[in-house]
Formats: sequence, structure tokens, C-alpha cells
Amino acid sequence: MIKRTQLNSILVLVILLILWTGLYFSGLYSPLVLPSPLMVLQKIMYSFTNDDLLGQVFRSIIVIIKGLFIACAVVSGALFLSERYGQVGEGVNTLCALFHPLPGIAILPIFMIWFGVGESAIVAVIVHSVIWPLYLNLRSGIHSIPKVYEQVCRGFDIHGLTKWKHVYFPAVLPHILSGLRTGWARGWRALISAEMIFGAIGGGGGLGWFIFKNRVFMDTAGMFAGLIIVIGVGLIVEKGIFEVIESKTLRKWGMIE
Amino acid sequence: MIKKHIRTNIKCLLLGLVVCGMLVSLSACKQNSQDVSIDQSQNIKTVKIAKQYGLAYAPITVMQELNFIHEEDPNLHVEWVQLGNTAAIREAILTDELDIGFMGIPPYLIGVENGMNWQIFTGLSKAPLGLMSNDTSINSLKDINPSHKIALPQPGSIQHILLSMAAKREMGDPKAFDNQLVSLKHPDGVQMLLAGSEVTMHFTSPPFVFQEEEQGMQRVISGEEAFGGPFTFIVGTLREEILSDTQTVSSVNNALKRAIEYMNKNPEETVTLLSEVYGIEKSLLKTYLYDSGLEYSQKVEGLETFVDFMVEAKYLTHSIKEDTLLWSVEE
Repeated sequence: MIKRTQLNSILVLVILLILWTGLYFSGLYSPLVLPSPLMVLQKIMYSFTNDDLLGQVFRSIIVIIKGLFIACAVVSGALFLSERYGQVGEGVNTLCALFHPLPGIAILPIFMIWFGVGESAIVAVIVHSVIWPLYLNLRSGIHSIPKVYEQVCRGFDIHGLTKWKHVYFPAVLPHILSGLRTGWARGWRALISAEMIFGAIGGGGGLGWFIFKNRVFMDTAGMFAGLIIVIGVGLIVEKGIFEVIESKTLRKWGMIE
Repeated sequence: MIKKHIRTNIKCLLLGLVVCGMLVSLSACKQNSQDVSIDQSQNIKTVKIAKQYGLAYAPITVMQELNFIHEEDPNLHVEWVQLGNTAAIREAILTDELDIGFMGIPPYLIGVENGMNWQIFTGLSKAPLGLMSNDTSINSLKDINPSHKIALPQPGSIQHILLSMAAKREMGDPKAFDNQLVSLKHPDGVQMLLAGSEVTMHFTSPPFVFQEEEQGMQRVISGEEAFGGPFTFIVGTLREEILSDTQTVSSVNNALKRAIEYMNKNPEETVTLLSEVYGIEKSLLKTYLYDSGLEYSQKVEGLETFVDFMVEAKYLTHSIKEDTLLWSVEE
């Protein structure tokens, strides 16, 4: 049976579609400004079969994963050091305060000079977009572990790896997940905007390039198609990865409803 | 329970309808405001023109700085609009934010292909474009290998189409280099080419092409070689709604004609005027403007060749007759 929340989501989608189709057929806007849902659907099908859209989606995701991976490594290192040495922690906090508000896309021109106009500049922007929120989330996670856990561990003589694996990790996991979620979302945004500024990375470029190319050739349906793919990938990652992890861990452990 | 569910759904639907209604009335407002400006057109008319910099656009700057349009028609008020790039200018014309914009012929044709009823009313300039390289081993397109990256403003730009034309002639495939393009604004392209790390070639136009030459970059192919003859680099385009307004278009057209004449008759004054606007030193600017192959003329050349090539290379799906593209007073 379909759940009520799902039913509501479907309803919202249907309303959006009706509105969109209605606006299209009202003739108020030229199809160059607002194409019909059908035109967009056709463009998606065409791009998957005739163009390299699948490859572009794939390349985009690979780049983000690279960025996320580097960011996770950097953040783990920084966390370890700042938990170990208080001064480092204060230093990293200052860095966070300075750089967290800086949009990745604003740094891009500088990164272009430093790293050139290839994948490395885009990865650098993604790393920048991801590390600060990830660090802040994880740090606040660690700091929110109740003191009593530590005392219980001592009382039951639990330490070392067991303590980390069975007490601390589950306690911090919600923060890890929300950090990764934010990181993923920001990395995704950084990638698309970076690609729209300097086109193809590697061979045929990624999704941002797909949208940009459709813009310069005035294919509005193609631009909408790009957006829908971006939304689609976001949904798949959310439902297929984050929610699955959540249901296998936090939900199973009864930490969230 | 189910009843309640249905009720919330109906609420959602109603909300959607309200939003829809608001959108429709908003766009109705927009159309109303346009009607007003047309009504007032007996007295003072407003024409929105894109302000563009770059040597190839020099007559526009001269016309703007010396108020030539106002002298042609005191009742015509010009609103100068600053926009980022060709795509933005085209979108502004499409969405009625702009009446007159200047661009290369290929981006204009892409607009026609997609259903924009706009026309060219004038040519503006011919310019020595070129594909510049920082690698001395590249002397022709045949020396380019797939790892070389080529920077240009964007796919579909005149630089891209010229590269495709050359690729067609020398490699037999117009899209031979399409997978190694990097889309960069001209100044970024210069920087990247000179840095020499990622970008090997840059298809660009004056003054960037001159700057790169001064820095020892070598020309792989010139725009004219790629095209196979002389062609108009920048043309002036009119939004559909202004096509029938002969008076306005003629005023702008005459002002432009005067600007070009002024530039040809008064090089000293032109250089003084433009060096301030562009921030380029006078003697250098004089060489750029008068001694490096830039030519200002209202004649439109090469339109048909562009159409034919773009149809052949499938950038356009159907051929377009040249006379439907050019604005004429008879309409």
C-alpha cells in the first residue's frame, strides 16, 4: 500500500505538471521560454539514446565522489588533530568562520589560475564546498556525545576500538550523515556551477556542460531536461543511499522515528 | 481519516490554482505595461540597446558617447543595457528586455533556427580573428591531437563555427574538435593560454588576439582562412516587435552610419575618446583600430556562407533565405 506521504508527493508532482502544461498551452509564453513537459521528456529520451547524457551524468558523479573522498580525508585528519590538540581545534574553527561563508563559485576564478581549467579546479571547488560544513557537523557531533557515555564505558570497562565502534560511532552517526548530506548537496551545486563557467572537463563534460551547451544553442527543452536530471540524481542519492543507510542503522537502532 | 486526507488534497489543489492564477495575472501585468509604452510612443519612445565593449563594437561606443541617436531623433530615448555575453543578449531580446543587440552571425542564426523572428539591420565590423597557440609544434589543424584543449567563448559562437569550418576543410569533420573545447571568456582564455598549463589554443578576436601575438603566441589559422574569405564579424539585430518601427530603426541606423564615418574621418578624436573608455593607451589603441585589419562597415558579408555551412554541419536543421534575415525599410 502506498503511504500517505508518498501519495502527497505524487499529488504535488501532478499539480506541478498540470500547472506547467496549463501555462504552456495558455500561450502566454513562447515555447523558447517555457517548453511543454512532453518536449522536455522527448529531449531527455533523445539525449540518453543519441547524445552522451549517461556518460555526462556518470562523469559528474565521479568528480563529486573524488571531491567528497578528499574532503572526508581532510576532515578526518583535521578532526583528529583538533580533538587531540586544543590549539589546532581553535585554529580550524577560525578557518571555518573565515571560509565557510565563501561560496565555491566565488573562489573558482582563483582556483582556475592555480589549478588550470581542468578537473582539478572543479575538484578543488567541491572540496572547498564540502569540508567546512562537514567539519562543523562532525565536530558538533563529537561534542554532543553525552558525558555519561564515557562514564558508562569506564564503568563497564569498555575501551579502545570497541568503545569507538559500539558507543561513539553510533552516537556521532546522525551528524556524520547530515554532514555528508550537506556535503553532497553543496558539492553537487559547486560542480554544476563550475561546469557552467568553463565547459567540458575531460572528454564530453558533465551535466553542467550539458545545460550550458543547450543554453548556447537555445534549446530550452534541453535546459529543462538538464535540470530534471540534476533533480533525479539528487533524489536517487537521497532515497537510494542516505535513506537506506539511515534505515539500516539509525532507524534500526531506534535513534530516529 | 480518508475524508481528511481528501480535504487536504483539495486544499493543495486550490492553492495550486491560486498560484497559477497569480502567475497568469502577473504576466498579464507585464503585457499591460508594454501596451502603455507603445501608447506613449507618439511623444517619447524608448529603445533599449545592449552596451558592448571590445574593439569590434567601437562604433556603438562612439555613437553612445557622442549622443548621435539623440541628434538623429530628439524624441528617442536610449536605454543602454549591460549584459554578460551573447547568450544573455539573445535571451534579453527573446524576453522583450532588449530591442537592439549586437553579436556574431552564428548565434543570431541559432536564434532564427529556434523560432525567433528577428532581423539583421546592419553590419558593424570585420575583424582579424585567429586560433592562437602556445605550442610551436602546432602549425596547422592537423598537428592538433585530442589531448590539446581549445578555449573559445562558447559552443555556437562565431569562433566555434569558424573552427568547425576549418575542421571541415582540413580534417573532413566539422565536429573534429568538439570534445576538446573549453568555454572561457576572452580575458580568461588569454590568461589560460599564456599560463600554458591546460589550454593549448585559444580562438579569439581583437584585442585579445593582438595581446596574445605580442606575448609570442603563434597563429595556427586566421578567421578569414577558416571562413575562406572576408566576412562580417559583428552584426546588429532587431527584436521582432521593433521591425515595423521604421523611424526608430532608421534613427539608430543613421547614428551608427555617422559613428563609422566619424571614426574614419577623425582618427585622433576617436582614439582619445575610446582610450578613456577602454583604458587602452592611445598609441597602442591607434594601431589596434586603424592598422591591424579591423574594418568598420555596415555591409553584411558572408551571411549565406554561414547559413550553408551551419545547415551542412547540422547546427541548423533547415536553410534560411538571406533576404528574410535582413531588415529593409519596405516592411
